[in-house]
Amino acid sequence: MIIVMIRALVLYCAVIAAVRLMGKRQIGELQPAELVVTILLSNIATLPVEDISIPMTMGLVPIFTLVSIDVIVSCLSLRFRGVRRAVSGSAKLIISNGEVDRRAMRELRFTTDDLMAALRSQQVFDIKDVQFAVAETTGTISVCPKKSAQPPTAADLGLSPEESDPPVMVISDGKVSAAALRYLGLDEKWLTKIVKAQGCQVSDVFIMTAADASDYTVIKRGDMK
Amino acid sequence: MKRLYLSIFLLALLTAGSIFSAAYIGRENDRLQELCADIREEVLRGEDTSEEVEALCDEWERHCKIMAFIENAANISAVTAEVARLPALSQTNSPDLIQQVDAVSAQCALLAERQYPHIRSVL
Repeated sequence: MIIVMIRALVLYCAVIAAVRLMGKRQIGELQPAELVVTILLSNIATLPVEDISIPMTMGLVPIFTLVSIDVIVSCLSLRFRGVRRAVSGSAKLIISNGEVDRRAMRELRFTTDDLMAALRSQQVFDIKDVQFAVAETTGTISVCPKKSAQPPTAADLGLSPEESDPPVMVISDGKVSAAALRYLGLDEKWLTKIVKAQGCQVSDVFIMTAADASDYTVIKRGDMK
Repeated sequence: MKRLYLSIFLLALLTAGSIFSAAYIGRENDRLQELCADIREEVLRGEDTSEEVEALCDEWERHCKIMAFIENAANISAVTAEVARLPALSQTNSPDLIQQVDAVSAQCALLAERQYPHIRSVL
């Protein structure tokens, strides 16, 4: 039994290392090649854990071979368009200039119900409001509504609001983020002053976010329900 | 770029490891086959085989420890069981010794063959 535990631990570390090697993109959007590697990884990793007569190398070698090949193919895809097309395919227009391309839909084996569901997921409930719709290589549908169906933007209204970065977390659960302070161009002196003004100490702050020296939000532990 | 270099390094390492393991097993298999041939010859000549059998057992014992890293334990245990019968057969000058040596030789050859990439092992 202890052998199974040790093997599980080793393979857990190996799979974590493999997924980290594949990069962040792997966790979010899966390209076809990445989906294949992910499915294979999960199967390969379980075999040596379940059957102790199989050597660990029979699990580790294919895991790292697949992941290395995947990373190399991804890098080749970045450099060569042909490789990218061969591995990931290409995006296809399914609605162009407000007209549904039935041939493209047939090629993608996309039914009208699939199309409507994809539009609804993009908050578009009437097909006549769509100018362009593209089936992406990840399987998602990107929709560009007609100008008449889009909500007015600040530019449409002739407004020019000031651009600003979103606030960042300066204190999280009583711990100060030095990186966040550096990013904002602020220091611990400013932080201590603000926290004291709130009638507490840094360790009493649950969350503090700040966009700049004058725009901040402090949530104290005592404020929580 | 760091990931690409790490992947190329890993792939090179795994390729080198695979080639090295195949070469090692091939060399060890040749040695085992030689010992099996020596035992066969000695049996046919009616000479004492105990020394050669002991050498074969020692060689296999050393070899199987390394084989355990790359081969299924069940396959290694099967050969170990066959090898373990050799000393007793050698001591009693049993006529079954040649058959047993042939079985060991064939199984070792099969284990070695599985490590070489040809159409049978790949498919």
